[in-house]
Amino acid sequence: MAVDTPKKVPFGVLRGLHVLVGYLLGIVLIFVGERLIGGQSSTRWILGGTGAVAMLVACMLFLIAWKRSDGERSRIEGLAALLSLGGLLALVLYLLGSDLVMGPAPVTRAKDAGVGLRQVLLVAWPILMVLSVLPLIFVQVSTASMGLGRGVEGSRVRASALSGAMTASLLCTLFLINAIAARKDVHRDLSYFKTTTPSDVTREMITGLDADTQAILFFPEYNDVLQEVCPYFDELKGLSERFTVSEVDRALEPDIAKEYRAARDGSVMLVRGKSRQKIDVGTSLDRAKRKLRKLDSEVQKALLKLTRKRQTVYTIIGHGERGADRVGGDDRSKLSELRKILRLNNLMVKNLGPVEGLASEVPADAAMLLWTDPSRPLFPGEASSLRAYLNKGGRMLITLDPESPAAPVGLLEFLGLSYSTDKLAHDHKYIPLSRSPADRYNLVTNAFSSHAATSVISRYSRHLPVLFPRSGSLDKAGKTNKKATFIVKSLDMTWPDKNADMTRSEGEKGGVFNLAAAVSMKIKMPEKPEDKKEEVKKENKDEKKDRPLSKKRSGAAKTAEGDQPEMRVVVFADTDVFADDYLGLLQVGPQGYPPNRILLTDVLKWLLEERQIGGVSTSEEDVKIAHTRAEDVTWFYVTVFAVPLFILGVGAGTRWGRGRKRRTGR
Amino acid sequence: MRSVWLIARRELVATLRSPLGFIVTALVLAIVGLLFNLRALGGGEKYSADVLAQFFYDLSGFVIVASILVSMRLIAEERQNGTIVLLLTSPVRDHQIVLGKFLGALGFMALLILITIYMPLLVMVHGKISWGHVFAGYLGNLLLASGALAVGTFGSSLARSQIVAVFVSAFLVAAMVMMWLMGRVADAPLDDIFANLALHNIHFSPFRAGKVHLRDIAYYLSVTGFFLFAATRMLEARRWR
Repeated sequence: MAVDTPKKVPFGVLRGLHVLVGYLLGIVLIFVGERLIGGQSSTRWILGGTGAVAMLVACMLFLIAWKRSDGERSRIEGLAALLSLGGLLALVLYLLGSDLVMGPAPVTRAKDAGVGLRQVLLVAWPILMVLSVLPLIFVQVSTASMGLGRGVEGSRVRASALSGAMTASLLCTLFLINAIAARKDVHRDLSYFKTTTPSDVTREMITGLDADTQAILFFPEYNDVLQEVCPYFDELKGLSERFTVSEVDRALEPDIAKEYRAARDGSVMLVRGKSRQKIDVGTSLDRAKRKLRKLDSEVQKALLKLTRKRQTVYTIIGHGERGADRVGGDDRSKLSELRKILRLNNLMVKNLGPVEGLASEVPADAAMLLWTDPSRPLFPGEASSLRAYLNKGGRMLITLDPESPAAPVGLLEFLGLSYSTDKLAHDHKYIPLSRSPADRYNLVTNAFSSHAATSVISRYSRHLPVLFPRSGSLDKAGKTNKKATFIVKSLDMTWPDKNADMTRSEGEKGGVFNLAAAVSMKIKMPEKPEDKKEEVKKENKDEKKDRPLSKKRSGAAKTAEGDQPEMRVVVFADTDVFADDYLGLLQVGPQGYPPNRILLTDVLKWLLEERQIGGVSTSEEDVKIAHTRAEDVTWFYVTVFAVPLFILGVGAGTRWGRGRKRRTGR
Repeated sequence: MRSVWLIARRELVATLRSPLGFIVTALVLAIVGLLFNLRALGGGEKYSADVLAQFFYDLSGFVIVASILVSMRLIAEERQNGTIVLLLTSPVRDHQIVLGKFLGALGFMALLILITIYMPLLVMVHGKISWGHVFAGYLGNLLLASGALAVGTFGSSLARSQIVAVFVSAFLVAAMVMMWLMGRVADAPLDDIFANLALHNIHFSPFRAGKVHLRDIAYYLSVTGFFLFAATRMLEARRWR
């Protein structure tokens, strides 16, 4: 390698580095003044001016060094001077593009801004600066490493300059690529999305249609959302001849759109006679995703509104009951979801308390009474009015709670039941919600009887464990002419926490406890005059015409078979089982079936004698992960111990095997 | 290219056979498993997508740490053992050495990351998550590993011992991760620059939520490319320093 020993050293190697430091300091001062301070403050001008002078002086010194040196060093100093001038030129370009020369930048949105001189200068100056300064640093470091007073190896310095230039070029290219990628960003959302499929309930509703029903899909011909909606309705249309599906492009068939008042694309219209129900989905897939995930429940809701006659459910109030809204000081979980399910089934929900005349009689149009978590006893006269209603074949759903002080003892005695407010707990089979000993009260059970009030849930009991948080227990009491069946029971080894210390003490014997009871009684009706019978028959016929999915009549209800009225009451030893916080908490299977909801719809079906009760639909919405304490322990040991120990074992085994092979030479 | 694959394979096998390989893997799996139980699944019921996002977030922290530990030995170990001369005088070019060693380490990190797949599968059994989301999360972690490994390779090329290499790499990676904090305290336009340079915050978050952005892929590939190039330049610097 040729080494040039100069006769003249313009300013020693260390001085060359000093000049570089001054040059870089100038850049930093300009940067601080322009980017961090900015505006019209004097500090900006002082820092900017000082920085520019420092750069200029450094450039002059590099030029002087170039002029004073000769041979190989002259070429090196010339390269350094050229690079420093490049940095100075970058500064000039910055000044030309700044507000000092071009004035304030117009306010435009980034995507609307075109490519003008300002934009070109904005990109050009930093590129030139990096391309000049980085190789300059490399050159100076390389020269310095050759030692003071020694000659310079031109090839080494040029290699370092090339290295610096390549690094700078790569840096600039990557910045540009990233800027373009950020501006023209393309993205894909791969998170969970799936359109629902029709649920069994919706399918049965379509199969049971007794009048022509039409689904009109108002979408443009080529639309992503239509591609998602079509398979859902294609599955339904083969189920009944009475159900037809048609696609309408509003632009091509404006008359149909006008006839059905479809003002927008992206909607589904369900039409039955003169009744219509509209479901808005939207035409943009991104926005429609939320609706498509629960399309089944929307269709079910619309179908129920089209096909079912409105009935009335009375909610008993005035005794500290738990309701759909939380009143001041009441920290019990609300029951708004329960009310929503009743409304979804076209049931009108009305209040019935002392003001509404509960003490005198239950209104004749009551399809069912709902009494949830009463905390005060009934007023005089109310108990007898309820008894009279039930004796006529009334329907009632009662939910009790161990934390409420007053259970309706009299009414329960009338039904042949007793209620224990000792909270039930289990040591192993519970849902950990608060990660505290209180979780033992969150019972799960899949012990259902084969009663009609648990017809669906008992069929799939293995897969549908119901959550009973903080439940009391029911038992039979005295002799009665009513038939009481315990439809839900706790799992074995459940124990009553009599002293409420959340741990099992002596005397708290484990066993199976009754969590819900279905009570029924056939009502003997007095003989009616012939003309009255005819009238009732006619009324029944008319009603059946109006209500294809309903087989019951209001007031004194009659069973489907034999036309003999029957009193039906279901009592739950827990109200939280249907409370908002717990009703949809457990979800099982890939479809996310909520067992507590299924139990509720089963019970409502039996009480109202409906073929179908809506409220359980397929949903592709994300589900909350709930698992039992036992599952928690399994997951913990598998993830924290089993797999890491397996890896360690395999690693250690392999090493030992190789070591043995080496030792034995085999 | 054959030389690159040879070096990569040798590097991967050496890492897998060394106690460092399986001890780091077991340790990372145990800690990620613990965090999966405590943070992702713990604290009451959570949506499966949230559990998965939290899992990928926790995993990313260990990916960064493991990348630094794995990369510390890449070049510094050769220097420490005196075998760098053999390597540099062998008929392979500097960039082939760097790329081969990097790919070997990346292969090991890919194995370490993918071995955690049983945790998303456990979530999948009980919840609703898409394979796309799982893919996005793992892609993000792999790209993050690639970026951190490249920085670590550069750190390893600067140092003469593995200990120094791990400190240099940890400092560089920490500085790049902390950029988002600087982005929060700096004023415009520096805030955007710092925030976009941050190794983890802005660019990793979409992946954990199941979103794949071209800009984030471009960023991680750029970081990888730049630091591998810089590491090559550092090896070549022996010619002009």
